[in-house]
Amino acid sequence: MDLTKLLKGEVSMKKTLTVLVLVVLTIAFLGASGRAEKADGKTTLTFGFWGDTPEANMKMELAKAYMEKNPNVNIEFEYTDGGGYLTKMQTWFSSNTAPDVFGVASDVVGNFLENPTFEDLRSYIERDNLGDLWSWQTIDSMYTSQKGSVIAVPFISKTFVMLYNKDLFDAAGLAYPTDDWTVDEMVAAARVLTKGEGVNKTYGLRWGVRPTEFYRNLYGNPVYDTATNTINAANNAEFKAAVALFVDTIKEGLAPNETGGAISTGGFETGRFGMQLSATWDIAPLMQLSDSFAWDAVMLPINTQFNQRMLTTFRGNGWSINANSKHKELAWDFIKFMSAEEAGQRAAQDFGIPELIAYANSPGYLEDYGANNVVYDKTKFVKMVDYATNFNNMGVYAQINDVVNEQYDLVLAGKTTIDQMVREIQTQGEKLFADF
Amino acid sequence: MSRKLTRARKYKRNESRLFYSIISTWLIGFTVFTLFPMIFSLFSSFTSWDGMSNLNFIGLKNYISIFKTDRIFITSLKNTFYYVGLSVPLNMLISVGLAMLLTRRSVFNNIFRAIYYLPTICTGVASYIAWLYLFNKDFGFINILLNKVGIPPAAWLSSPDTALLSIVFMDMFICGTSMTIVLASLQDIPKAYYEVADLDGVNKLQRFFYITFPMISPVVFFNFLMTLIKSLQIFTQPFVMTEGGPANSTYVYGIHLYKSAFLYGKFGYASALAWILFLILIVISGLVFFSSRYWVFYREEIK
Repeated sequence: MDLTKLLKGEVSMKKTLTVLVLVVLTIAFLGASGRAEKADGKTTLTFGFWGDTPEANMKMELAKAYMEKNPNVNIEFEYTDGGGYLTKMQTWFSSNTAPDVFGVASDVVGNFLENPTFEDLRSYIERDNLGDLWSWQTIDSMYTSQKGSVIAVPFISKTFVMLYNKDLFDAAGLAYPTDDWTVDEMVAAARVLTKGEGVNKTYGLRWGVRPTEFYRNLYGNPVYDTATNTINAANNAEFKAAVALFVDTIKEGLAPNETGGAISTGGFETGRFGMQLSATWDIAPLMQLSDSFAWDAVMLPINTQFNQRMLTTFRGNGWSINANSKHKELAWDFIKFMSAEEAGQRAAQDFGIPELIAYANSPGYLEDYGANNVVYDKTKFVKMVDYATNFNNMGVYAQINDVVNEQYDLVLAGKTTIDQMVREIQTQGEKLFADF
Repeated sequence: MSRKLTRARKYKRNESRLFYSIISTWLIGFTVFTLFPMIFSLFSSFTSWDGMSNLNFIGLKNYISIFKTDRIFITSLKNTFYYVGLSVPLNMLISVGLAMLLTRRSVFNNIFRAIYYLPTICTGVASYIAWLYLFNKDFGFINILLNKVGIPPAAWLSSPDTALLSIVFMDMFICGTSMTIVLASLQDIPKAYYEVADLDGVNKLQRFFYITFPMISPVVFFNFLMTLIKSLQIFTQPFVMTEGGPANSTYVYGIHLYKSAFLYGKFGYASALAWILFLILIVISGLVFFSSRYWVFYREEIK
């Protein structure tokens, strides 16, 4: 179209606008289709994942290793930090733009089990006869829909243990904790280890931001039941004891108050904590600090009143395939590389317990302490799997978790009592389940 | 005569054609990326949409639930207004005060301007995390300073009584943009006004209220409106620093909206919340515009 004609009015306005709209839409289409199916003759897979820098690097290295092994494959990354991944996932689902392969976390995936974006992986597992490689208990409890579809293959799982600073224990003349230790012994040790004030403060314990997901079901009597959608706060002695443990240790100054939801400003790696409730993902940064101080892991302690070991939340990470992917077989092959082969599981071992059963139980995993050879008892994380409870933080459960958190904060601030707290949680929880 | 008229009409037609041609790209962008999402959001606010399934129409149920059963809605609204009520006036006072200080002749003026503007250009989340360290009860710089003058350490972000105040305090330092706009406006005031005022023997306070403020009032009005709208939409600071806690003391409207959509999976409900916020913004902006006739002075008025 000649601009001079346009300016002279020889082209109608309708025609002008139509042409302009077409130009803009064409540019938009070209931009949107920029993700070529084949780049340099290679097949392109899109790969969505989350993680902090070390974990994200591990996942990218895994993808690079797969590309090296399969030179005809190009993997494009769609990385999002952990905090934004849930939002990203929902955007993928609502706009039908999920990557070919993407990660899922057990604490939020419960709400998406029936989502048509997930390819049913059961037939893939059965066809390749891989069923015995992973725990079916994990798959059934976390990644299986009501219709029986398997929406993800497990990659790693994450449990909690208590890490302890051996140097601080030695300096205080305390014996190292053992797996049969009790909650009372833990608190007593924390009292001895807590010293100083202000910048010189050493805390005996660090709960971090974790009470939120722990007091919910610390001693085996959960404050709400996800199977029956019922709330069980009012007369729950175990729940009250769990809240009391966290509140009392913080109020006594044995542990810092980080439970307001605030991001942590430094943890066990600073050497300022005698003990820390720690997950598998806390290990990776500690592996870089080989010379700072000696430390080890111990199972969570036992509550003698309930004769119950403190339960750990169990978080599973798995891989899913987009049901609309054009390269499902290739996506499946990539997932197998990460979850069914030892090399993939070895790369992920600093971030969680490998889900490949044979590898998780082998000396190759249990005695591999990384490049810096930082030796710690890895079996503690594995043993805690037997004392694990699932954590769901989506939908109505997230709403109830928020009510529990709010009430817990009020107890911590001295604005309400534990008895008032449980009554309020009972009332609010019943309302939320009734509206659900 | 008629030929002249035809030529004029043709010129006008060509001009409007050119106008529409040029803005059509923006119009398409506006339609696709703003208007359509707004209409979709309005429609979904009348549905029980969970972000994945079909949009089931439920009439006004979301709006009724918000006002009748959602206790967090009131909490989030109160917290948001509390934040706005403190941070907007503070931001205005500080930006005007700093701008006035920076108009004084000093060899260090440019350095100070850069220093005061620095917090504004720092990436939000990174600076909020730095503030988390500053607010830390044990080794935070603020408590260390207070300790030096004998004031006991406070649990700034861990106490429901001080958490939101701490965020307001932090935001005081992010007023570089407002300050720069006021500074430009201050430098635009003719010096003759002050010279005449000096001859009349007016004091500094009178100079400010009778010359300076009326002359900068249009930009103060602009800053006020922009800061007000931004503050009503506050989200990132409390979300990053406290996630709305402790005890919902920093649980602002933006967090409620976000959690309702992405954590509770109630996208229709969140859309209704978004439209309520939009209406609140319109009403408050309207009131500010209405009030401006009493305190904003435009030079054109004395022509």
